[in-house]
Amino acid sequence: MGIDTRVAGTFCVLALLALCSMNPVSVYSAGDETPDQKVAEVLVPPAQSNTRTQPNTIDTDYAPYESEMRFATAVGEVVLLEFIPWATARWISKAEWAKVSTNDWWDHIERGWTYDGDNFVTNQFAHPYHGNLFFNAARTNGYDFWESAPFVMSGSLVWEFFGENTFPSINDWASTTLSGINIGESLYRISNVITDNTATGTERVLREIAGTLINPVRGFNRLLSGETAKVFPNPADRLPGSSFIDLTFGARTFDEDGFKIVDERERQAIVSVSYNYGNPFDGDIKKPFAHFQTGVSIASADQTLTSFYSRGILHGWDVSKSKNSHHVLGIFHAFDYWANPAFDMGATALSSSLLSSFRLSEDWSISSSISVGGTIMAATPTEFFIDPEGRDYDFGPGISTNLHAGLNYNDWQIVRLALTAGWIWSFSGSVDAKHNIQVPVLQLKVPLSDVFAIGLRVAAFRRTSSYPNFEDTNQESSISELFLAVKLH
Amino acid sequence: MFYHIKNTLFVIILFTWLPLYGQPSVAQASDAKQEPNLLSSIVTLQGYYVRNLGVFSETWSRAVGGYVAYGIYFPEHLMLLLQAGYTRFELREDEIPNRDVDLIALPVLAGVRYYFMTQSIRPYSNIATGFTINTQKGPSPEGITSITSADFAFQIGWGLSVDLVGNLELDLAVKYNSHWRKPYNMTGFEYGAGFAWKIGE
Repeated sequence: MGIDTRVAGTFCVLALLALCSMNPVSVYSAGDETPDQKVAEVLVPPAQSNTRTQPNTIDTDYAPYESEMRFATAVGEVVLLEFIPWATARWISKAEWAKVSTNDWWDHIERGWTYDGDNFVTNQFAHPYHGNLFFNAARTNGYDFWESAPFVMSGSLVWEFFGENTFPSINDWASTTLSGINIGESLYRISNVITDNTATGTERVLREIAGTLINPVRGFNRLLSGETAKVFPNPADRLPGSSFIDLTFGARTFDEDGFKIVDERERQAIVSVSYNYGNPFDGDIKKPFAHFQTGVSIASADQTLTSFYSRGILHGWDVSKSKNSHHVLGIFHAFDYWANPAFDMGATALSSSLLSSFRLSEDWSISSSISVGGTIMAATPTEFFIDPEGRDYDFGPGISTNLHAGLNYNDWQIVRLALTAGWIWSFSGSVDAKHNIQVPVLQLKVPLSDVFAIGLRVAAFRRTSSYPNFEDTNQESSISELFLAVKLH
Repeated sequence: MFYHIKNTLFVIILFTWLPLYGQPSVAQASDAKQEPNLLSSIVTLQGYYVRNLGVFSETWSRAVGGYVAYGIYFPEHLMLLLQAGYTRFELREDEIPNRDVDLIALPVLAGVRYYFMTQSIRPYSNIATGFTINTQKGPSPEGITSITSADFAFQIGWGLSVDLVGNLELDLAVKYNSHWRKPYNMTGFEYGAGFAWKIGE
């Protein structure tokens, strides 16, 4: 409830505060004697504003802000991330849900958990994103991945029980906590890659802006600590062993209900960016999110944000390695948000995956993965439930399996075949409904150069739902997408 | 009114324990952090009394039960915990004439316990989730029938471990339960006392 306001308000305030700090020169007027004046001069030297500092200008003795755990700051920021959206809703937008009293609090304690009736975007995207802010309140104040997780958990608990006048919803707590941790660590690492503590001048300013947009809480803390304007060594693990960005521009066509003829299909323009961080076959896979894949897609439709996902390894083990093959077993956490006229699907899940790589020649290889996992909380459409607040989908846990195979030419995946199948048991919404979901995907890419490729992606979505009191239903949709891919290392 | 405010404040404090997970004022360089190593484990036996809340308490006023738990310590403040319990609920005497109704819950929980101190007296807080198998048995037109369901379980609370002799510890705890159940959640405050036996070093 009201999560859009929460996220938007918090993001805007933090981003604004952090963006105001981007150009260090702007905060000092000429002639001011400030302790950081030297640093400001280094960042924008008069004659060489776009060059790196000399090695002797890097403060190698500086202890980075994140090298210490700052409990009070982390808790204070979690409180701020609760208060800003609540206060915005209570006193500016005067939202009904923010009019909460101590009687409401006690009612919530007496009643305990329930499920809410919020719309799909609020529950499946905005809540996880807000959890990411809680996570980074701790992560960027010196706590590691696991240590930061309880901050999300408690931040969401406090909000659910005491931040709104509606009953605490378990789906919000699960999404905010689990997906928030996932998104939070992904965005923390991406922001870390983007910012460069040794950069100066325009490059530094642009990097700080981009890093803050990706992770506003980190940008805020860099502002607080003065690291936005400080030249000092980068952390040793700033860059993964390998990473690449896949940027695609294209058009897609799909139908909303059943496989129809092409003329009746809806067409959309779509832009997608995906980021592959680290290599599970060549890295420290024992650290959480040492390898992850994340991506977002924007479409020319009412539902502009059409997909957002993040899948990271929590812990991995080398199973076997030879000259031409390598097998890795990993525990993964996945956050998925898919929203388009053909289907909606949201989930936070844990899975175990066997990843394999087979080398065929110097340039060619085959990759595959087999995953089996448990979906902790999923949201999927239903035909027989509409909540008074508007929710028209079911919540519930489930199990899923994923098979994937790819033919690779260097970094390009020429052919990709994937099949995801899942079963979800409705705990809220349609009474005792069971949903079976299948999503096969075929993707072909033809490299035009080291950087550009053209491609075709065809996917289908099939949901078979059974209800004890109604007839079984089927939903089938297909999506075809033509795209131009740009690969950036 | 005062009762509500007092209890609400109690739960607020209860819910805000988790950030204390970190080491607050004592700065610790991140590169000096240790990898978690298995140190030792404990087996805990605890009995508890539950005062139920809300609509659920209008029928089932209280409960008694116990649990056995196995916990694994991680340096220096953390413990992962698996616990299985047995809870028997009691009907409210003044309003329910039918005494032949039983409600038994078997909560199975996995959670995390954080010790604020590592001395011989160790206050801690914990959070756990899992499921509870609820069986209600009672008379119906068809005779005595029982209904069993498996539902989501949630628990958060404070506790205190005190070293007694050897590997024996005294364990005291106060927790808030919100276990899922139709038509009303099983919410309540749980007061427990028991013993723990430390295994290994």
